[in-house]
Formats: sequence, structure tokens, C-alpha cells
Amino acid sequence: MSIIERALAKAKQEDRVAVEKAEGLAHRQEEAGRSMDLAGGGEARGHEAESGGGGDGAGAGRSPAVVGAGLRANAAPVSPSFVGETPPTVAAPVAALTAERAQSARLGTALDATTCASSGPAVPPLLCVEDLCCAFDVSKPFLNRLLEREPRRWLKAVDGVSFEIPRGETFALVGESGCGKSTVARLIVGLYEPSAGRIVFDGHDLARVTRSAERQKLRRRFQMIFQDPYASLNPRWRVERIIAEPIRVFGLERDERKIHAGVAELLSQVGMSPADGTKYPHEFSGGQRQRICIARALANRPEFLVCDEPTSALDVSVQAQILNLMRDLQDELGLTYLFISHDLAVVRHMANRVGVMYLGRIAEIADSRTLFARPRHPYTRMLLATIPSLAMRGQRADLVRGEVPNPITPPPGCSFHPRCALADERCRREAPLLRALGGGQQVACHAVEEGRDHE
Amino acid sequence: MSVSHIEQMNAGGGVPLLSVRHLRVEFPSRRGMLVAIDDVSFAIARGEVLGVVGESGAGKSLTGAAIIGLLEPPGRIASGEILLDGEPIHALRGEAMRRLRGRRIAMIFQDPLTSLNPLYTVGQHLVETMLTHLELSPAAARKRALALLDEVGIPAPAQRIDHYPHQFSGGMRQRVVIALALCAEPELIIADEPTTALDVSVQAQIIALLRRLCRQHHTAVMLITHDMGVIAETADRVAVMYAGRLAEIGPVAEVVRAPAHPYTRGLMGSIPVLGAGVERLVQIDGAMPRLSAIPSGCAFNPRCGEAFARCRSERPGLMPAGATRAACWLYAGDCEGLSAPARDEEGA
Repeated sequence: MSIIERALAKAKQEDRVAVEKAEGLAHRQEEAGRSMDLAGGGEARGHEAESGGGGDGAGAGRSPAVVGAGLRANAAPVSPSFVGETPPTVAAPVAALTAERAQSARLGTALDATTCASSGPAVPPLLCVEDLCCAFDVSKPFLNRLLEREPRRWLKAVDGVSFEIPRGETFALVGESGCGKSTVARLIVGLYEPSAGRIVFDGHDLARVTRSAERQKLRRRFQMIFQDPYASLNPRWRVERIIAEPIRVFGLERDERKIHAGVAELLSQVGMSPADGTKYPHEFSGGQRQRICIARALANRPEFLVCDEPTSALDVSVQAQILNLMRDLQDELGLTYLFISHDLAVVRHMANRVGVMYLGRIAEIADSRTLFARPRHPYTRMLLATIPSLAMRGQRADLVRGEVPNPITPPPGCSFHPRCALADERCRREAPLLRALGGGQQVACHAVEEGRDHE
Repeated sequence: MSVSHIEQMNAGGGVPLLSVRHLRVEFPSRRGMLVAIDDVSFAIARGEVLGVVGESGAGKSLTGAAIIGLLEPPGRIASGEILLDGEPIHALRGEAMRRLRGRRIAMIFQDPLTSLNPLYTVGQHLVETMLTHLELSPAAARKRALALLDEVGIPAPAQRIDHYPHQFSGGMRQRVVIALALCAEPELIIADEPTTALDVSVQAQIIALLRRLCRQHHTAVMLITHDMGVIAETADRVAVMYAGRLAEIGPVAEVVRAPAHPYTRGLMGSIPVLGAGVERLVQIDGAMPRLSAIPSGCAFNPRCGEAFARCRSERPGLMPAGATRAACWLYAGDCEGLSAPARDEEGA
């Protein structure tokens, strides 16, 4: 065996170990069998796998796929199909066991959040996210890694996020840039594929729905509103065509006259004139464009809207218009929102329940009222202290310090510990799990758990 | 410095540090002259923080650019004057303006990445600025640069001084920019949305830093932002701009507590407030008019719930309205008899 071949083999081995260790992808599954299932689903979803057939891919096909995956462009999400391709050399039962233990440790104390599918509350939530993970490959290209003897590098954008959203409510995710909130949004609408975890929409595990007709039927029921209304509308299409696109794509209506009438109705629903349909996006202001985006999102009559910073690009007076509109539409159409924002005041105004994210993990989940009245996690407290307040002038505490670390090399233990006044040895060593405090409040913090947070 | 002291200084006839009088900025275009800033007058006292707030397109950044002489052609100051310490600076060109810029008036821009040169180390930025404006030896300049970096809260300044901008995070870069603005000890800093590009937790730190340093160095600040919360925490007085005109100006506590102009009231009501269990935000319907179609009379009249005939025909000047001054005919009765000179007072 030549040196190069040996090095190649070694690099591949390292890759594989890195994938398993850094990600714990297979380990996260409750049982080995399900991991196969998931992989199968993932593969059938990918375009390239459609011809090859789903299920466990053939052994011969694997190794080039691994290399291919290694050479893939940076920041490509690790798809479940990639997981399935790692040869099952590690004893699966052992992995499954540790996984089970990790799972029960993670979930045991926060049972109410994760039992949605089986023995959940009387009314099942519309959306349930369980232990969602998403890692991006930010390694250098394969040859560079080989020559510079560098391991693979992963950016864990989302790491074990679980929450659920009851029908007709608004769940908000808040956090600073880079905390993974937008990645969660994109995972849910299917713009990225999760590395692990489940997204259950109205009882259907999105990863398991593999037939395209069924997927299409599910996809019609949720939509997304993006942050920047200047970038999310096609400048060469008339507004009418933009809004009618989902209707045409989902084949909800074939009669052009009816489509036209539908678009007119949508436009008036969002407070615009039906005559605006013949104009181009550049003829509108930011607020009006965001209204067009909302009309487009409503075109396929969805039940669930993922709103990724829908008002961050707008002026405050326009923001008020859009927030009011969104609340009116929610009352009128019974919509369910996942609302993503970095602005806590906006979140307080919109949400029933709030999840605070920090570096890919949930730091605290609570009802909006509870969270703002009795924040427990030090990060939540810090975020609340950052809000410039109109009333309490200049009284901002010295609570606020530090910056969000680089998510590629997050601090060990609790990722918030370098900025936390309560951090001790355990926080630097051991990552805290989400624990229920009662009243639906869950906090991932050693200090809160040990009662060290009362000053 | 307390607000009342500044008010005293303004009223007491002392020359304000900066005085802008009837400033008008125009952009000639194919469709006619666009008036981006129309008859804006205000003053900033020494050591005072004046917040300038408004929606995008209200002309707040252009006002800042006009003061420091950075208007992009074809934009130009059509009339009015800008006085620094009583001397007109709006007509300065070339070398004369360059000596002033950075030395007596400094600027902090929104995006710290684009306002630092990626090919210079942080130390080179600071040293070059000081050598240009101050009579210092290179060694003394470097020493001062180190002290400044320490003062703006950059850890291990002795190592960091030789790093390039890309090696700093966003918040740290903005700290460097603040050090750069302060290094020639200017009398006025124009901070144009200094925290908009930053995360909320970093924003709070930068605002606190800016406030503390300007108090210590007794530097006046013109803080341009769209965030009323930032203004409320930082500024002594606030000027609210709408469609290139001043809508209201007054002590920040008064404007926040009891805004006089209907636009300011709408603006304050549309900010979601923590703890206030409001079901619906106050919303101002419509959008700010385009520069090419500013309505006659008061620019806000088509969106104003309280508009009457005079608002549509005649443009209001700033007039006393409670503790603040608002450009609104609702308050015309308050100042019967002195309505004409009332609007000049601010600039004088």
C-alpha cells in the first residue's frame, strides 16, 4: 500500500470517527432500526437517490459517496443519507444503549415537552419538534485536510432543540445572531435537512413522509415569511403572479379567472388594493412589500406560518402595522405561528410561549408572561437587560458583557459560561439539560437547578 | 451634565457648539429638484447628546453628512448655514474641511467593518489619525493609541494594537471605531446608527461606552438612530425628523413622556413595550411620502388623524408645545403673537 493510499484510508477513518463523535448522529436515535428507517427516508427524499431506490443503500455504492460527501461544498448540511452511509462497524446495540441513556437523561426531567406523539396532552400540538439537530460541514476541502492533517470541522447550528406549538398559538424563538433560530425555521419548512431529530407536523413525521404526493399535501399546510421583503420578491414578476405562484404550484385552482379573484381577495385581506396586482415589487415601500409576502404566504391557505424576523427590516411605525396585521390574520384564520426575532419587546407582544436560544441550544422555554416576569436563565436575564427602555433611563445593569463566541468552537460545558456571573466548575465541564421548573417553565442551567441563582 | 444645565446654556445666550440654521439640502434629478432636507434648524451645546430619530428616508443621516461635509454629489446644501463655535463651516472645501473633519468633528458609521481599512492594523489607523491632526511624535501617538484602546474596553491592547480589523468581532470593531473617533479629541461626534449592525447584547455595551466616554471627554454627540429606546437611554435632547423636516425637538424625558406632535405620538405608540399588556399597537397608517411627492402644508397631514384645513395649506414652523417644540398647527394657539420668530429661536 502506498503512502497516499494509507493516508487516504486514515483520513477516511478519521472522517468517519469525527462524524460519529462530533455529531452523535446515530447515537441520537432511540434504536438502530429507526436510524436505518430515517436514513432510508432521507435517501428517498434526495433527488440523486430516487433512481437508486430507498432503504439501506447497497454497500458497493458507499465509499465513493463518502468521498463525494467529503468533497462537498462547505456548509452543506449533513443529510441523514450521509449518516446511513457510514459503515455499521461500531456495534449498533452499544450505540443504541448509550443513545437511550442519553435520551432518557435529556428528556426524563422534561417529560411534558417530548411526549407529543404518543401519550401527549389531550389535544395534540400542531407542530412538535423533538431533539432537532443540524450540523454544517465547515471543513476545509478533503485534500487540504489530508495535507494539513486537520480533522473535519462541524458547525452545530442546532443542537438538540425540542418544543411544540399548539394549534392557533404563537411560539417565538429569540436569540442573538448565530444562535440557530433561523436554522430551526429553515429545518421546519424543509429548506435544510435535519442531521437528527424529528419534526412532527399534525401527527406526521416529516422525515417519514416519503411519497411526493403526500409530502406535497403536507407542504401545502405550512408556509414561510422571510426577513427581507426586498430580497424575497422576484423583481421581474408582477405582484399578481408572485401571489398566485403557490396557488399554481399546489394546483389549488386551474381557472385563471378564479385565481385572479383569489389574488384580489388576498390583497385586500392584507390591506392593499386589488389594483396593486398589476404593479411590480419595486413600486412598493418595504411595509407594502412585506404585506405582499404575507399575501403570498397565505395563498395556499396554510395553517402554520414560519415567520423569520418578519419585521426586522422595517421601520417601527411600519413594524406596528405588520404586527397588527399578523395578529388580525391569526384571529381571523386561526393561524399558528413560529415567530423568530431578536427583539424581545416584539416577541412579548406576539408570542404565547417563548424559547430563548443560545448557540444552537434552548436555554429557557416558558410562557411569554412567565418569561418576562420571572426570567430564570442568566442569558435570558441578560437579554432582558439589553432592551433599551423608554422608562428606566440609564439604569441598565452591568449584567451585559461579552459577545457570542464562535459557534465552530463553542466553549465546553454550558456554552454561556464565559459570559455568566454564576458560572462555576460544573458549568465549565458539563452541559446543562433542560429541566422543568413548574408552570411550564424549563431552564437549562446548573445554577438554577442548584439554587445558586438567588442573590 | 444635566439636561437643565444644557437648557440654561442654550437659553443663556452662550454660543452653542454647533448651530444649524435653515438647512436645505437638494438633489437635482431628471424629475425636478428633490428637497431631502427642508428648513431644518437646531443647535447642540458643548457636551450635549442630541438624538436624531426618524424612519428611513427622513433625512437624519443626510443632516449628519451635510454637517461634516460628506454630501455625495449631486446632493448639495442649497441654503442655510452650519456654524461650529460661531464660524460658518458649510462653505469650507478641500484642505480646510479636511483639517476640521476628524479633528473637531468626528464621525462613527453604522458598519464597523466597512469603516476600517482592512489593510491597516488598528494601531496604524489610530496613529495615522493622531499624526495628521495632533502635534505628536509617532511614539507618543502609539502610547496614546494603547491608552485609548484600553479605555474603550479592548482586552490585551498591547497585542491587539497590531491586529487587523478582520481579527476583531463586530462589537470590538465598533469599539475601535469609537477610539478612532475620539483620538483627536473632537468637540463633536456624529454617530450615525452606531449600533444598528450589532447584536442586542453588544449594542447595550457600545451605547453605555459611548455615553461614558463622551461624558468624560466632554464631547458633544449627535446620535442618529431609528431606535427610540437607544435615544431615551442616551440622549439629553431629541429631534424627531419626518420627510426631511423637524417634527419635534425637546428634552428627551419630555418627548418620551408627553410627545406633542401627532407623528411623535404615533411613533412612540408603535413601539412594543415590555410589561405594557397592550393588545394592539398604535399604528400610523400609510408610509412616509417620497421626496418627489411631499404634500403641501404639513408633510404629515395625509397620515394625521388631527389634520385640519390649515395643515393642508400652510407649513407649520417649530412652536412651543408644552415642554417641547413641535412643528404642528395644533399648538398655534399657545404662541399667538410670536409665531413668526418662534421657529428661528432654535438656531439662534
